[in-house]
Amino acid sequence: MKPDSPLLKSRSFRERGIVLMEVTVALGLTVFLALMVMRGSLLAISGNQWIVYQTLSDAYLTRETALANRIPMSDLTASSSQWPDQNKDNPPFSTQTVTLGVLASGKTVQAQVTRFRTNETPADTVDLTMNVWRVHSVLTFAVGEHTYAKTRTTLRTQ
Amino acid sequence: MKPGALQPTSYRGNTGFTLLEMSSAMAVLMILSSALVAMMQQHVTFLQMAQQQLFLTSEAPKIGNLLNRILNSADHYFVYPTKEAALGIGAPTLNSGSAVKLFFKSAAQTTDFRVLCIEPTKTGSALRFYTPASTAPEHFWTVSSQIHSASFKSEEGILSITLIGPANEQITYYGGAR
Repeated sequence: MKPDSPLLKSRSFRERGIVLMEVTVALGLTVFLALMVMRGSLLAISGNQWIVYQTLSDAYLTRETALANRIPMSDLTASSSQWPDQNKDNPPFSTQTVTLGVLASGKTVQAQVTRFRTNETPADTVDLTMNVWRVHSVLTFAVGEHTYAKTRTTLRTQ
Repeated sequence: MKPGALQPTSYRGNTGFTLLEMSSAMAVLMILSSALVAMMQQHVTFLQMAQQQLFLTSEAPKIGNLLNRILNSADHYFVYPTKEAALGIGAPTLNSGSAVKLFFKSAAQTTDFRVLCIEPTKTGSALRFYTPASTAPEHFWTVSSQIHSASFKSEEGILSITLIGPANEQITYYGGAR
């Protein structure tokens, strides 16, 4: 800008200090932008955490399904069953702390699994002497401030 | 330059900054620059964290989907210490191993077997699904090549497959006999 520019000429000695304010405002806006970017990064990381927990919990629930299918019927209906009868046993369910996996940070992820079974034998098939049990597993885990529950049910007949 | 066209003394006197103004400006610049550098470092840290989570967020769900479909179709299984033992006539193990032989019932009521195993690669390990052939080499396809290691184990009557990711993250899938 030329020294005799009208812009410079129009500024008084006091007004020249405004340049400092302009620079400060510009850098303040830059910092605000950086804060927004950081907020976006935080949201992305938290979203990743949610996906990680879903992946780990889905993987663990394959164990519940496999176990419910594999356990002998005598063990399933025994008094010491891992899946107590919801209507007859006391307590009507069992709760266990399980490990879902390990994160990249080395943190071990744990959750609570609650198991119980319900008698689903139809009333009109008594003459067939058939027993039908629905085996329930409820996995409860926390991601941040929210608590999530996932269930798997398996039908067993004898 | 024409005489009288430029008056340096009066120009500098009217437009220059005082020492106090410059000091204030430099202090503000330094504070804001430090804050920006710190935020940049934090952003890079976040990116590294996101990169570390890539195995569990992206690769593990795909592996889980494939393993569930494979294991749910299997009739029964045996765990072997090595791939060669599983494909050959080696004895199965009751401890953890690096291969599992899965038996499938065909529509013709025959029993076929396939081998799921972990093999070392240049960058880590690969989880591979082998179809035995009458003549070598066996056919295989890769379930995942982005794992560090894996182990197969039979516990409580069900098969567990524990995968260790590149950042030592750990996830276990289960399945087994129908």
